[in-house]
Amino acid sequence: MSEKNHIHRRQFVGQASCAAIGATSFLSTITNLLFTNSAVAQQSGSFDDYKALICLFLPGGNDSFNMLIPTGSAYNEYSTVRTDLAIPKSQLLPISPVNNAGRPLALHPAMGGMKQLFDAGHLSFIANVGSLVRPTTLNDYYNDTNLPYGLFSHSDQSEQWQTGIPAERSGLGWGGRVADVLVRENKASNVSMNISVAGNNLFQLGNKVFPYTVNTYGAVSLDGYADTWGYGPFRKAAIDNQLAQEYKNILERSYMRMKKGSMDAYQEFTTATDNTLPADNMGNEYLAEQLRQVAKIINGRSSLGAKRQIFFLQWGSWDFHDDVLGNMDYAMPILSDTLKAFYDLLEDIGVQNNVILFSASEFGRSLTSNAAGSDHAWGGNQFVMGGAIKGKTIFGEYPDLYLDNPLDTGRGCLIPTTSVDQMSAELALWMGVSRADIPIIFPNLKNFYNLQSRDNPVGFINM
Amino acid sequence: MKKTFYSWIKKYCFLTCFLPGVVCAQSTINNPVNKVSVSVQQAKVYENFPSPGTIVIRRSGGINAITIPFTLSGSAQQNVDYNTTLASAVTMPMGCREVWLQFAPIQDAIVEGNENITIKIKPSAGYNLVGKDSATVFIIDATDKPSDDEATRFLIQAAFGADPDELADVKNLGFEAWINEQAQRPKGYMQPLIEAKAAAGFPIYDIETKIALWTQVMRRRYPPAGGVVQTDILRQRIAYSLLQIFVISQKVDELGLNSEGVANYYDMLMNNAFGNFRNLLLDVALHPCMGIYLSHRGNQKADSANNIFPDQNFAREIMQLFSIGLWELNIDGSKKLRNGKPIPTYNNKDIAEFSKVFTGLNYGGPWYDSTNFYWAQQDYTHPMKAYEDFHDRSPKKLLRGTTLPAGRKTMEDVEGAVDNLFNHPNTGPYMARLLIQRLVTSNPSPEYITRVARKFNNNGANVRGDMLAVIKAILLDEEARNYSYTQQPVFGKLREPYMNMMYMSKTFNAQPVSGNYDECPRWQYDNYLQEPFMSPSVFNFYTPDYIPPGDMTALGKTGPEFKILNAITSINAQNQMKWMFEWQVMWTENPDNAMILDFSDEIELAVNPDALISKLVTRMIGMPLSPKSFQIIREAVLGVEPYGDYWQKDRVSMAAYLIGASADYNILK
Repeated sequence: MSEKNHIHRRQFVGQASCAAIGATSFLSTITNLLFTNSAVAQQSGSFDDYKALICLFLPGGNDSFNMLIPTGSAYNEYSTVRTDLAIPKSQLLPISPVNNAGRPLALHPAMGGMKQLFDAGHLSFIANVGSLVRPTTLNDYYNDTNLPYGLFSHSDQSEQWQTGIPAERSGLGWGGRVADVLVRENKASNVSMNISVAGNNLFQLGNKVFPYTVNTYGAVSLDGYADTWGYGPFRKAAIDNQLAQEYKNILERSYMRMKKGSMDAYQEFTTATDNTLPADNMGNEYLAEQLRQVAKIINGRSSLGAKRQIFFLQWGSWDFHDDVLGNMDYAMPILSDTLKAFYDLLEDIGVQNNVILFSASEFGRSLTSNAAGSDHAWGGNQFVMGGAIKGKTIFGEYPDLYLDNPLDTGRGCLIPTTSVDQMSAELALWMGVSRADIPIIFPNLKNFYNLQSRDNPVGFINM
Repeated sequence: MKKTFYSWIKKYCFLTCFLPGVVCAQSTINNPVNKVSVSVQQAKVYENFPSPGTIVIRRSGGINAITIPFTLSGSAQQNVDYNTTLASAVTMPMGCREVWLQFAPIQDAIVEGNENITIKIKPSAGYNLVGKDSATVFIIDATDKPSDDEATRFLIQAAFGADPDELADVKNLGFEAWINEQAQRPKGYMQPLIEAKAAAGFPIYDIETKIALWTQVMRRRYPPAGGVVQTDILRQRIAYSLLQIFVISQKVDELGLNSEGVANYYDMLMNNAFGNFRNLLLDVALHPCMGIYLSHRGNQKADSANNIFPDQNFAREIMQLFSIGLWELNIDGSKKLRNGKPIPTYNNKDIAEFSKVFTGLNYGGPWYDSTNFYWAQQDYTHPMKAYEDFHDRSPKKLLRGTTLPAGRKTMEDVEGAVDNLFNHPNTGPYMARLLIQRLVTSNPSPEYITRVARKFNNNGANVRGDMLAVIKAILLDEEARNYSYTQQPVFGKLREPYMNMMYMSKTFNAQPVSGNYDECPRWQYDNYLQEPFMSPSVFNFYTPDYIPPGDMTALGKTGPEFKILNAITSINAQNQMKWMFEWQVMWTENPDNAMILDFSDEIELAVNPDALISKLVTRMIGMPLSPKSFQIIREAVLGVEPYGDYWQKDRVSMAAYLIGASADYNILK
């Protein structure tokens, strides 16, 4: 490994940024109440297939206009605005989407693996996505009309990607609310429908469904708890009594509930994931280790009685105010090659059509440079991967990049043209949320999408 | 049939366990002869901090309901000196093994000396008395000096737990005098420890900052031959708390490779711990490690011809995280509303203006050359200096109508921006809440925030930002000190995992075999999502507004430290306690550096589980356990029968482990 690679590596080793897991201050009570009432109507046991959604959060704000890049005749516009952040044209990997994105496009030079997936029709991009309350113009921005709160801030934008409620603070995530509706499809289990391999997060937190956290090695057991010899039984009785006690203090209650949930789930989870995966080419980066754990859980789905599962992963720390080129040169090959190998593994398990992985990152970055890196912006590009994806396509509208264009709020921070909620709602529909429940989970969807429409909110999934 | 009978007992006992003053615990023992004994769980109670005293009547043998008559005597008077609902007899309900008789001391201004309450069990046909027939609770008169419990609880908030010597200091001086004395003590700097190692030829990796921090927190006995050192433990705790707010992280390579600089940053926080907030904010803004972490080091004025603009990273975070926060606040920390909506404190244009302020700063070490901006000599231990040619000289429109005129020099602009934020009405309530959350409770009342914020705004001598006054206001406030608040259902905070290791190592006097603190617990991030100087982002390991799932979400209550409590970390933390208490050692990579915990006082008490548990609870928590929690632990300790060579040690381990696993321990109240 070169010295430079070593320097970039640190930010991608282990459990990286928590910037994605935002702060919350008050509840979106009305939304939650409405939702609870609606969910009662849902019929259980109506699904005979298995589906899993994987949220891959790239915290810090991926500079995704250096991931999906104009080329050919459009390259000049890109290189003019990005100056020292522009990747040389000769290094780019041109792609040939089935639709017309308005300009020739290419991928970051290190994205060979994802280009293969794209070409094979298993991967597509959604251009210029971001948090929006309603379709927004530059005038709206200047007049502060119907904007998401805390624009350009890590914590707030991460939250909004995860809650689907950009104008308000919500203590619940859309993955959690989707699980609240769909969990009845799963056999009752101590292992939650929502499993995080990357710690606590807002995305998976529902009214009823809370995320269960494992790490890349799986679950952990309480040492000595199962000892049947020596003082073991006395210790076990005391621990059980502590867990069973009623606590008046809500912090005490929350603490004990977390431990009890973990202990209840441990055995079931460990038994279900005690399976051998086919060999894979994912390597041993932290991203690969997380994905391998997810694959193990998917492989053990019938033991868990799971028809629907939602996973949360997090990798890297993408807040490159400095040396954005070098950092992305380090990160992109790992991202791209690992995802390609993961897709191959899903094929080997035979679930590639049952799993969708989507990227999320709180914002795109300023197109202009701060002389080495880029700053916080708004709209960015994301990818979706899976056998059910309408592949080899650029969804949304790839924006003009020149400065002071009608989407530019300044310094090349672009107003998104597709809302996060459109993208999220399509994923929720695919998971099986009814069209009646969708507007309750995503209250602003109606501002972008005719709820009576037979089309899907963005159209990137075959369903 | 039998099963039904037991489940009936269970139900019955559940119903009867909540009689006021009398509580009971269910039994599963089936033997017709009742043997009754009496003992105390909490022998001393204090007018200062009136948690109730508990006399416990236990029985073994029978399961039938029995009535136990007693006499209540002693120098203390019912309804004058203490409250209780007891009369002259207590009923042990069917199936219960314990009833608890509780006495709540009454606080008064009378100097009356210590008083006592004695329960003497009368003989009865229903049982045989075993052992002593009486037990006594002492009510300690109000004094200006804290008890062991109070001093421990205070040191958990203000320091790193009940270190025996520091505990003695608090008990001798009382809280306020202790704070005043601490503020005068010599500072235990980190940087010289690291420099000494470097000078001795050791390679310096990022672990060195953690070892230096550990050493300074533990250093009462460092160097080992030097006798007891006068520790500046309050300053250390405040600096540690400030590090959770003014975050830098060695996960960024350049800081990972420069531990001296990171130690210097920590020492800077220590220097400002009892100083003025304005200087703290200025020193943070000018520290090269912050300049690297939030990338304003080397930030230069706009070059609009080439579409290059100043970096906005630090400009944003100095507002969002280090001074005023995102929303305009009332003095009590609540959000101001306009048309029912919160009001943002700044917008993206303001960030752009502040980003112009923080241009032209670069390394300021001994080789500083104001013309050499692009190749400034790296230096991590001196404040950044101005390189005027690279500073944006245009006017800067700051917040609340302040404009910095064109043409000013870098430092004038930086100080102007720091003043703008320092004088913002948000800064008092914003910092008050964050610091209260670090030291005392996750959800302070609006009144508590108001009292501390007012002290920030004016220390009483017309000085704004006096940190020592703020710290005193936090730690001496009635909400931090009075017993009644601890009984409120949202009071307290979750212990954070790394501090937990510091707490236990200090409380039990952990001493390295080698004599030197050459190591400290490490590789903790994967186990606990926390390790000093290794925050995953500027948002720290936890965020001040994090709301845990379940009851706290339903009530909208925050629990920052819960952000890193999950199915993995909660179990890992308890496992770590198990190994630490079973071996009575804090392990290190090199076994020669392992730190031995001292449980010698507890070993002496192992024969008497009531005394053993009370002693450990005083040292570890500083608040009595509920009688039920006490019973759970005591019955497990009695499971270690007094045979063989190690039973005393095993009883101590069992008790310490289960206290460490309890809700009472993990939630600081």
